[in-house]
Amino acid sequence: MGLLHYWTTYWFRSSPLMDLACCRIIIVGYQLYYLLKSDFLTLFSKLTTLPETLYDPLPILHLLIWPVGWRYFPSLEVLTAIHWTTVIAGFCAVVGFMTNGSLFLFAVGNVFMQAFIYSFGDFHHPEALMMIALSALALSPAGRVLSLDDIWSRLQFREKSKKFQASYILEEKSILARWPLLLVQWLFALIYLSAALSKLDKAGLDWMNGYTMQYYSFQDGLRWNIPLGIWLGQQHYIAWFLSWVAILFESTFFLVLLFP
Amino acid sequence: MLLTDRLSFKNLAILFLSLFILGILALQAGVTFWFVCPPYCPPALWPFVDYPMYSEPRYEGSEFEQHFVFGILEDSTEVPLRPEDLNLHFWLFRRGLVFAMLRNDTTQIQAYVDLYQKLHHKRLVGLRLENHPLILSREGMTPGPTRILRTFQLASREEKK
Repeated sequence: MGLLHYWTTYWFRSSPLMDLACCRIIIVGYQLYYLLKSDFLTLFSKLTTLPETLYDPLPILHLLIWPVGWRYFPSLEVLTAIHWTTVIAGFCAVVGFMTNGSLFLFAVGNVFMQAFIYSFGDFHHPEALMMIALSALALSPAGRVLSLDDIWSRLQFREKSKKFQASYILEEKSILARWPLLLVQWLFALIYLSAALSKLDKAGLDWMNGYTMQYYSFQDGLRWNIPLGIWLGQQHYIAWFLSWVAILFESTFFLVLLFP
Repeated sequence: MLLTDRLSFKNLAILFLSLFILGILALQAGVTFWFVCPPYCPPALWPFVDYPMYSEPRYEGSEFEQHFVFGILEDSTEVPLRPEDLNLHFWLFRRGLVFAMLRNDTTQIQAYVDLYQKLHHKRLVGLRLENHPLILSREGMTPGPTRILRTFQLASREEKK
């Protein structure tokens, strides 16, 4: 019972809804910006012209397309419809209109599109945490304050009770407001630890020899046309110092969970 | 009664969310500490992935590979095959065509050849993969010797190394 009590107190302690609402707006707002900036529609138009022999759906995409076929290859029209539905859901989620439904649609739409993009033999990591965070938000009371839903319910209350009830959204709390933000913190800790473990497992202390940081700085600088990266690729001692900073940061980040 | 209903809903919500949290953390911890799959997991569990990027050590003298693909047309003209020539971005081109050429995957190579021919209405009779490396030193990168890594004759589907 002690463990249960500790668990419940840790994850479901009464916490301000405002924090969760702000995170909703920032996280969903950022992902919306990313969706619109990245020109997914042009990418879809390229991917849908590739031969189907190159299409190997990720398992999560298999699950999403299963009702229409285990290896269903969505057409450009279907992908375009999913894209715009997701964008609209995102806008609704940001302003807090039918918030949980919008968040759910936004999360599923993003997972679908990103999983489709990664079903051609190439995949990357930056979006993974965002997908999980969106799913967590969809299950939380992220629209309880700072939302059209909240304004609507207050208006309805005033209409029914014929009296105005002042409330301070900064003081409103819920036992379900803390867990999504904590979960994201835990995931960050695990992700940084994964990065540190991979480096130490593959390279040991050689990773901090300076040449490794030079190499990757130059690689990304050349690839993304970043002069700073190319410059750092020529600075051995600065690269050596930064490689120690990187490994120490990644391997100790989990301490924020113990010492917030 | 309403209070009892609220309490049981609250308990149910906590139970469901606890299982959700445990599931998420278990999957991510599983790939982080390699319980679920070997190191450097493929994306089978995406979005639960490990993060092995930039983990390979480099040393003085390490090569920074720069792969270039060239196609040979029927009239013996050589054309560079760039990602945009196949309507691909850099990573899809590299992990698709380049990696297929490196592992001699003729089926995959043929898929990209067919794509090129469909887009440009030109017939390819050969492919060549070259590496124009840069060599790492304390001062940065200097060009290294160009190497031909693979050549493929497409007419007879024969591979030469």
